[in-house]
Amino acid sequence: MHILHTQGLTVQLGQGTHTVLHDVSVAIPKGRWTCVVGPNGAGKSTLLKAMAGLLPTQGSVWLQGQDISQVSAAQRAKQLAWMGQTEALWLDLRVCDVVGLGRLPHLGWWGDYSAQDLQAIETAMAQMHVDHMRHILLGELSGGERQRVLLARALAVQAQVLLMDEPLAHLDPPHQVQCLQTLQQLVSQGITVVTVLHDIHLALYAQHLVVLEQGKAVCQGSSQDTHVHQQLNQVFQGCLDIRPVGAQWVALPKL
Amino acid sequence: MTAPPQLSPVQASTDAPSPSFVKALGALVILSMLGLLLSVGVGPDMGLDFGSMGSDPLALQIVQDIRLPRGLGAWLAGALLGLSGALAQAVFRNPLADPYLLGSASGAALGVAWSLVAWSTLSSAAGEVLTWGGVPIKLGMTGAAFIGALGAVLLTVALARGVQHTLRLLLAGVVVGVVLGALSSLLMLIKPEALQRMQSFMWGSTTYLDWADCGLMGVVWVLCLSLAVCLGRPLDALNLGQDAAQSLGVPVSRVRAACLLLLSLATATAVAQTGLIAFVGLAAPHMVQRWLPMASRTWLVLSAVMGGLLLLLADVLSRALIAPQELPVGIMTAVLGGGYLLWLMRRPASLG
Amino acid sequence: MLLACALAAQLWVPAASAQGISVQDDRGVTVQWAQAPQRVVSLLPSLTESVCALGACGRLVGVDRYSNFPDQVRQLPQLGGGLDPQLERVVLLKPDVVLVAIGTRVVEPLQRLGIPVLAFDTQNMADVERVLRLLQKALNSGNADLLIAAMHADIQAAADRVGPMQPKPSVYYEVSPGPYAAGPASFMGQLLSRLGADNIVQASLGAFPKLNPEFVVRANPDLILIHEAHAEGLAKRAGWTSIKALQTQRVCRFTRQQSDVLERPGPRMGQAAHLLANCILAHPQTEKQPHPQALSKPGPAM
Repeated sequence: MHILHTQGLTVQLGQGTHTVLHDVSVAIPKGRWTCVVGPNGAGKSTLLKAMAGLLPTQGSVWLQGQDISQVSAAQRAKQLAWMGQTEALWLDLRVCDVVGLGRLPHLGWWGDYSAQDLQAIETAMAQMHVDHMRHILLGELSGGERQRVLLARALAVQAQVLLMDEPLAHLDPPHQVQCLQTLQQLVSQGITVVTVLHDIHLALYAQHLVVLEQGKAVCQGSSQDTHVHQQLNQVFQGCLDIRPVGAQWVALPKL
Repeated sequence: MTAPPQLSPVQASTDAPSPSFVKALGALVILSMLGLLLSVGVGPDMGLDFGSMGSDPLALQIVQDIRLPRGLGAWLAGALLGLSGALAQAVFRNPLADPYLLGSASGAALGVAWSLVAWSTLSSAAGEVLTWGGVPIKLGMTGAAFIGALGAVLLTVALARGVQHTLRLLLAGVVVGVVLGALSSLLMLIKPEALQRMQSFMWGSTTYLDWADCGLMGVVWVLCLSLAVCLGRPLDALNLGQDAAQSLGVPVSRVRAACLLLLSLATATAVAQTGLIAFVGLAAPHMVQRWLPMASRTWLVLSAVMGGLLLLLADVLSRALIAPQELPVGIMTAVLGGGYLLWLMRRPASLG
Repeated sequence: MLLACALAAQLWVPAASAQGISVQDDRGVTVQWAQAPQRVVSLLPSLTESVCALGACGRLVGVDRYSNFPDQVRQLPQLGGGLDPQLERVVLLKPDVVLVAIGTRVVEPLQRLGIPVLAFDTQNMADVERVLRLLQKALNSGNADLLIAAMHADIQAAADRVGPMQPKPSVYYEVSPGPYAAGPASFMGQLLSRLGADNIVQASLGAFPKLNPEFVVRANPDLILIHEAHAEGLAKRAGWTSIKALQTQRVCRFTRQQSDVLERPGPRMGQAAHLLANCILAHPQTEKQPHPQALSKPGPAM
């Protein structure tokens, strides 16, 4: 059951000179954690942005059976939350304000936060363990803390589909684990999560993989599938040694 | 860390006016009123005797018809510039943005130059009487400046082919500014007698503001401020970056276009009435931001009020320092604003 | 001098007894008074001089900072420049009329405060005559026609003194560094034409064109008229040492007071004409000129 899929997606940047994605057709299974992997420059971030409806594309993106270009921005914002690689904030806002921005699709431009909104904000902050710094300004936080706040912002949307580009950037191992555990928790509640992770080792914890190379979808399938592992290794020029350790597959660099 | 207490809805509501905002607004308003009082007491013959106001109708007339509208007009013009400056900085996410960065200054100057050359033999009150839909509209120097400012911004947006890319807009603004500036210099060559008048426009002046001007500026300010405050949340979302804001459903281009429209309207109105006054639009948002951190909505309101206070003080000083003569108010704001920016720069932390 | 007779004659002219005065100024605006204004503010030096020439000097209560003739106006309160007068001080003087140059910004605020304003265009000789007549009507004082007649008589006398000049000397009058020259349409230009001089500037260039210095070198004027403060740098200008006027030392240097008379289109027109005549006569075209063409020129009549 696919909640999100693309058909013949082609994305060109730089006024049509540089084609980043060629005819990519991927299907994202509902209620699973999918990870998009591939070498540098494969177009992973671009694919995520295109799926979020943020880029002009040729081909189509379908969200819950509807062409995303036909859905209003407001509707789409409620169904799909996207988080990109971090940018510097212009105005320094408090943590609770930043997380509160995640409720914008439900709130509109006027109107106060409802009880439901406040609950969502609280939950998001608790999940990312930033509730104790709610009144601190974002500029005063470390890189890892800031990342958690922005993650909480994406969670606060409470959308059915969560697209995250490098969610674990700047996080130390304990917090990486916490974040992944939260994502797994969301998946178990029926949320669809799509991440881009450059760390293959962590990517193998996902249930579904999409392998990209040079803007083309090389293969997609279960993360347990050895055929997928083979393709993955090929794409990374045979540098990987993927083997099972207990119930989990791990990827070790072949030195 | 101990578990934090459950927040009540009031505490967690990030949009209710926080106590610090109300305090800040109150402080600025009180200072503005003091400034207004001060401005009424300052003139070429310093310190009009307030006691004689009751008996001397002339003194009363001076206060009512000259000093009061001038003080209030200075505050309103400053408030318009402060609002524009905040909007410019928010849209371009650039701490050095000011109300004039889309070429509106050069556009207004060109309008003034053209009016001086075209209607040289008539008094400033006259000008051309155009008909628009059968209704005669008088277009004086003020109108020409207003149209010039707005026209320049439209030209900039056209040159940048839309509001998509802020960098393109900035560059187009620079180009338009330079070209229109050259055109107005050319016009001044045709009629060098108008040069002095042009210079006084470039320096800015609050000297001849009257109640009608105050009314116009007041209406425009209230309109622009209320609309800008409506855009507060989308502007906050823009904080996260263009893509993140878009993913939250914010129509980024439309919000940007709306901000630019409001900013141009406010700037054009201020410039048409008082000429080119520098630094108010640049400094006011900074001063407010350093004072207390805040979201866009409150920042816009406080920037406007701070801008009003700044220009009012500059006006009072320009009249008081070398009385009975007057310093051009634009020079005063440059000194004050420039001084503030210099002070900012000597601090170890970087700007913005 | 004829001028003195004219001034004396004014005292005999009976005041008009018409009730109510109505005057239309150069903007086309009609201003009315029940009786002649007694408190006058003037924000232009030539208008100040005109008011005094019409015998109403005593009615002046304030002038601009550049008005300095006649001497008695220097005692009056100074209200700033013509372009930036101090509104409040004007209002405090409670004037019945304010005289300004057309295009001054202060007109609107004054009118809004209920103060009558007369704005005049004062560029050339015709303007001077019109302004004097309008002021006479407004102030109900003096005799403009007599003044004008006396001025013209003065100008004629000056022209007679200079006499016919063959050939006509070409003249360059530099009004200010730029260089800005006085063209034939300007006030001084008109007087120079009356005296029989040729202006190196054509009428088509306007009243005060900003010239390319090369133009002046090529035009090679016989006579240069300039304010004494700017005269020093003339020879240092690139290529200007080849100009006839500089080679033969035919440069008239005007003092501050003389410049005031020459540059204000006002009732001292006659005096201006005489100043110009003195200049021309003081620098006659003589036999001993290094320029070969000059040898064939006859001396000027004295």
